[in-house]
Amino acid sequence: MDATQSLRYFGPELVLTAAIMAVLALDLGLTARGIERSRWPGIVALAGAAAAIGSAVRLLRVPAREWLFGRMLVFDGFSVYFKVLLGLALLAAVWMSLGSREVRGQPNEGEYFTLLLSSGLAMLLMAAAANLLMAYLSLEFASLTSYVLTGFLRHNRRSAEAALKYLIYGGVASGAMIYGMSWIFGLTGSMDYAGIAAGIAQLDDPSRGAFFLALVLVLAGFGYKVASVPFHMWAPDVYTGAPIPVTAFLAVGSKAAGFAMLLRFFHFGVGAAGPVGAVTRVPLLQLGTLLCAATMTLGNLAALSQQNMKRLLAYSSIAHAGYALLGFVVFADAGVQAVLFYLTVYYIMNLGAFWVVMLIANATGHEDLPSYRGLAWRGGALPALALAIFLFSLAGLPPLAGFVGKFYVFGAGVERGLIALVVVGVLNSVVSLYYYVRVVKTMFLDEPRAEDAPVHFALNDLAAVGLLSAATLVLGIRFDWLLARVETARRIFAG
Amino acid sequence: MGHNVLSLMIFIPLAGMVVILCLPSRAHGVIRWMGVAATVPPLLMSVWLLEHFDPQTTAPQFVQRFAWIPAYHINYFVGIDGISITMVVLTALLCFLCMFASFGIEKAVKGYFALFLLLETGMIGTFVALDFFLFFVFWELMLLPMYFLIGVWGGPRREYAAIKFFLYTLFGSVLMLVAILYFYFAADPHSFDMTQLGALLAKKIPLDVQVLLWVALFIGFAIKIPAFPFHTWLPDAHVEAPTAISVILAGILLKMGTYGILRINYGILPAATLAPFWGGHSVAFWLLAALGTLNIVYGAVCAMAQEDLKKLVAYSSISHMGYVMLGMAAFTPQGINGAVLQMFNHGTITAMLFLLVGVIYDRAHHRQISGFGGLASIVPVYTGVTGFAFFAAMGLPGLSAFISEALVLLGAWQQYPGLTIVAASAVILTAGYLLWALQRMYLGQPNEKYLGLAEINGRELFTLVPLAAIVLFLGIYPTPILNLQSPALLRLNEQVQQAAAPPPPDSIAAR
Amino acid sequence: MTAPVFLLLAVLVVAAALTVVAHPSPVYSACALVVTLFLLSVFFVALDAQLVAVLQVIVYAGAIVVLFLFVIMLLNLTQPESRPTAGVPVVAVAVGGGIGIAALVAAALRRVPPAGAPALPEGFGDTAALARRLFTAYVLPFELTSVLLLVAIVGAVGLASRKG
Repeated sequence: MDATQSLRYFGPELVLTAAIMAVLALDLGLTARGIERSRWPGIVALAGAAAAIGSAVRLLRVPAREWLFGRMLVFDGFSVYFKVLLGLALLAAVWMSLGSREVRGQPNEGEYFTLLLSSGLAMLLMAAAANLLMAYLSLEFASLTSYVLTGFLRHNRRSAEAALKYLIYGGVASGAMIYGMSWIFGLTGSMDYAGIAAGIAQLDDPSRGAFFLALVLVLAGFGYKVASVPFHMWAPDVYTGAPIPVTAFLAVGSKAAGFAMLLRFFHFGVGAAGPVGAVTRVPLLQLGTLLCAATMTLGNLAALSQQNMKRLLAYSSIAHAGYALLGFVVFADAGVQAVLFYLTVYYIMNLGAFWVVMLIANATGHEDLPSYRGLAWRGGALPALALAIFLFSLAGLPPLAGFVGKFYVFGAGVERGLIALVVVGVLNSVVSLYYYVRVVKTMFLDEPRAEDAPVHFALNDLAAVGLLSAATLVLGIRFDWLLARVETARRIFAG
Repeated sequence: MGHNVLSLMIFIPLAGMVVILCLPSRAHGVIRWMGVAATVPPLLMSVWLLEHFDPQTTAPQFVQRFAWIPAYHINYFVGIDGISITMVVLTALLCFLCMFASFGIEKAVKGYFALFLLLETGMIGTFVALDFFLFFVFWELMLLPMYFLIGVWGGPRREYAAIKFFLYTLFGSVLMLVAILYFYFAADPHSFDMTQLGALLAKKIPLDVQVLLWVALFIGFAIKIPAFPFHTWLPDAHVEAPTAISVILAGILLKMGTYGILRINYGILPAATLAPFWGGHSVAFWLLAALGTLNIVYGAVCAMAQEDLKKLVAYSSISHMGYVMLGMAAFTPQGINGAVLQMFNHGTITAMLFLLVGVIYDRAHHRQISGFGGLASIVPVYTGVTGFAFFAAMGLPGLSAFISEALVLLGAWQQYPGLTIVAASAVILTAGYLLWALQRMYLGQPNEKYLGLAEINGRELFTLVPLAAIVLFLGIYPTPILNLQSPALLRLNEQVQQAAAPPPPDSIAAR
Repeated sequence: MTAPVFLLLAVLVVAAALTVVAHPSPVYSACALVVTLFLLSVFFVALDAQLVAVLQVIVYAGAIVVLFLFVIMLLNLTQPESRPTAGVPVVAVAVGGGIGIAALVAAALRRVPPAGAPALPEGFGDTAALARRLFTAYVLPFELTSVLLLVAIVGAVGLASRKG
């Protein structure tokens, strides 16, 4: 489909681009009038994100499965599903930013919201990219905006350090990735995934070996985006240093976009010409299994001793990338479906957890675990309860949404016969319970001490958290509608 | 009511929880009575169930079933049969009584009663669920309230005890989760139906994989029982928990382990139960009979060494649950009947014991056996009830535990004479630690510190008397309860033996 | 391009790139960067991409590196920066790792049969052909890059601005 025709299926991206320009223009106007602080950039950004979601939701009903813009992007149920999810992540991040003391105190809010929206735009493109050029470009776009957003707290050393680390790790990972991509192009003579799939079928044995090496290099780029071991080292520092809304957006949105890319690349670009292992005759399954097990285990073990909530959630999000990778390792539609389901559930509970962390940081000025001591008994019963719900859900206890997500991912693993990996996964969720419960323990079981001041939370600040915790509970009991959704979204367009 | 009585039993406590959450937190009296009020309907319904239960039908009764998540073949499916009916009654009864035993709670009353009711929902749900997914949800649902109930309202080491309980139990249940998923995908058509899985899976899974699954499930349940060596959470949790929660833990939660083995290991993997395991003996021999006997002896020996009365009672639970394991491994009518009866009897007796420990702890604020003495002359009524409970726990003829332990030993004798001799001799140990404790605490010279100790009050007696009446009644006339459970248990027994029949397993041939 | 010429150029470009990273003086690093970019443009010429080669020289070597040098002089960074030097083990591991990866790459590619270079279409590499491709097949990446650059400027201003 050519460029003009493609625009019909390009609504969310266009809306977001317009919103970026609007925020930028508005900020210029405000600066020209000498207004330094205004709520308006944030509100326009919120409206832009909401409009993008609306546009994406309308596309949900479109059954078409097409190439867009020549052979750059793909329009299918899979990409639209991710666009809705990423749009929601963006909306939540903007909403969080509006209530965040870290962000609202800064003078250059206009730039902040511009960058946040562009980051969202880049992730939307990542979900649809089916061409090495677009994949690389959108990934770099998302990374670049993430670096700046991470370093947004200019007077905070941790924030600047995190941004620099993120930049360096990101540079190495994307360097490896583009090197791998150049091999793939060289070996298959094609940039779009359909051409790559066709090219793989023609490869002789030595070329397949080289192709495998290229896959490993590309995997480094994707692994960096989803924060999988061994490309996870940036995550703890970045999550700790960035403003909390940005952390939440990276943890939820960036990861989801990374998974969208990973799944599309391996199910379409590499896998479309046949089962992945058969085509490439390489131990991709073993490599994936190893990555998955290592990601779950290292993430959880490292989280055990964390004292900073953002850092703890950072390691926990690494572990969760591991659980989602289990769905990837399944290398089948059932696995894609499980990943989609898991990421959706993960969106709700992890976002909720970060949101509560932000509310508590707003109220107490701290993010470390000791400042949570006895929170439930000194005015923070509701946020403490909500955080407990999110953490138990992350640990995968029924009847919460996180349980269903894990159940589904592990189910896909068992169906595929990956019993050992599933056992590693369930044992990991026992380990994870320990550190999640440690937080709950601090909030509920520990008595507040004299130096712990009472805290106050306004009810309307808690609205979003209440919404998310209700969703966590409801999705734990009624998830058939979401199953039906992911069932239609799981079929990745394959040329 | 009829077809939705079980759902009402599950969800009325949950509704009670919601009501309590809406009450003002300072209205302690209202909250307490609301808690009691929410446990009354399940109790009445359980009595109604006893009345209307047809013991001759081995299939589940009062069944309610509708599709929950059709895409994954998950149903909301509840029902009871001879295996679960006594457990449901026990749960409803103990929850009701424990509400009264919780009136002494002063800290965050609202949270306590709300969580307690949530716990009741989880427990009743676990016993009546017949869909494996639903079962697992209820099974795990109990963990959260239990964690908080121990962790917030418990003793000095409550945090440690609560997390230990939580992690141990979760460890067991995640292994169960893997087995559940394996069953689901192995069954054709895919199913979580606990009543059908056994038939759907027969011959679908190779025997060695079945044994592996059996062991995975067993570990989950053994932690709950708790069977040696998975028992170490129990003394901590029981000692640190508030009285009513100790009662629930020992009275109900421990039974879930053995109930799960009967319902799931026996029901779904009958062939693996009697499959050869090691040294020419079956899985059931090693993991149930031998471990059970070890439990009996080990629990009794540990109990003897305890200085803390509550710890003593906790270890006695380990010992008594060993009889259940031994009995159910015998695969004789007496053995399996005795085992399930012992589950009920231990529930009532150990509840009495923990309630009595709570009574003395509320007054003296410690539980050191050696710290008391001659209580008989200070608080004669309390001593009388305690004596009754101790003798019941010892298995004195005329009291309920005698019947069940005798049945277990009779049943086990036919299969495992060696083990039975060991188990039977452990009765002496049981008598030893109980009588010794009785002597040190209640007889002899009164400790001057406690001369003014208050006698047991009406509320406390109210929690104990119904249990004592049941213990006495079942000690004299156990037939009604045996009639209820026997047909279903005998059928289960047969199923397991049939599945193992060709070729005849030498492992259970009389040695 | 013949293999010996390619090899020579390749060695030179890698050496220049390493100098960029390793040289203690920023001025030398920037100059080495110019050399690297020049050598790269030679590759482009050899691949019949004359316009790209010219742009490479004008934009990167000409404009951007000059800007770098300007900033370096503005900040007066002519003196070698004192930075913690990596110990021998670290360097050894890095060099060893680099050689290992190079060996792995060589091993993987050694037996891959060379694909015959496809015949180039008429006018390949000239401005008109490039522009046509850029505004038809590659219009989306092209437009996206413009948004990316705009956002990058916003980000740079946001980080560097001193307001507030």
